[in-house]
Amino acid sequence: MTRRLVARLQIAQLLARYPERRVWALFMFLNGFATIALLAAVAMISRTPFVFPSLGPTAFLFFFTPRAPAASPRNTIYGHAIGIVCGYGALWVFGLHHAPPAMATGVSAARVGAAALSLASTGALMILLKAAHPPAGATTLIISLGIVTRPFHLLVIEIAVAILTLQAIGINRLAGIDYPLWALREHPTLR
Amino acid sequence: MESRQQGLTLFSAVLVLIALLVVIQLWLVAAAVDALLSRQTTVLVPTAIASAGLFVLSGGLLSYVVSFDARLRRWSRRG
Repeated sequence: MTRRLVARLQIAQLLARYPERRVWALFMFLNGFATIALLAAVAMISRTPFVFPSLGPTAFLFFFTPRAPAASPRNTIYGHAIGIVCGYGALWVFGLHHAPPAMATGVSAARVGAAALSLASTGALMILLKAAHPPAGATTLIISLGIVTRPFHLLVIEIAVAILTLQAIGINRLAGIDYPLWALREHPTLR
Repeated sequence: MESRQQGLTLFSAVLVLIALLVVIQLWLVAAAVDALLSRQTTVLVPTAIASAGLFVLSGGLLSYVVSFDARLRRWSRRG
C-alpha cells in the first residue's frame, strides 16, 4: 500500500495525468519549501549560516532541471567549493579578509577588485574542471563582498550544500527521477 | 526485568502506530496533490488540518516513549 502511495506521487505518474507546468511547479514548491525550511531550522538552532542566498538557485536546479549536468551532485559540490576558495582567495589578495561587509561600509576599490576576481576565477575554474554550477557565482560574491568571511562559516556553507544535495538525491529518486548519485555519464563536449 | 519487557512491548506498539500514522499522512499528501493539480482546492485545508493533527499525535507518542524510558531508567538506578 505504501509503495502504491509513493508510486502515485512519482513525477512520471503525475505528468501522465496532469499538465506538465503545474506538476513541476508543485514539485518545486513542496521540495523547495521542505529542503530550505530544514536548513533554515538547522541555522536557527546552531546559529550558523546553514542557509544563504545561493542555496535558492541550487534548489531550483535540483527540483526543476534535475537531469541537467549543472544540477548533478558533482557539479554542485565542486562548484560551491570552487566559489568558496576563489571568494576567500580574492579577499586575501586584496587584504579584505578582516574587513566588515561591503553592505555596511560601502564599496571600496579593493572590494571592486575582490568581487571581480572572485567571480572571474570561479567561472573559469568551473569550466576548466568541468564543474559548471551557476549558483556558485553567488556563493563566491557572498564571500568576496564580506557577507560571510569566517573560515568556520565557509565550512558550514559547504556542509549545507552537501546536505541540500543529499536531500535532492533522496527526494528526486523517491519521485522516480533518474537523478545521478554523483555525476551524469555524459559531459558537454568541450575540448 | 518485567518493566523492561513492558517497555519493549510499549515501544514496539508505539512504533507500529507511528508507522501507521505516517502512511495515513502519505495518503493525505497524495490526495492533496491530486486535488491541487485538479484544481479542487476545497480539499486542501481539511487534509492540511488532518495531517497537522497526525503530526501532533506522532510527536505526543514519541514524547510519551521518551518520558517512559526516562522513568524506567530512574527506577532501574534505584534498584
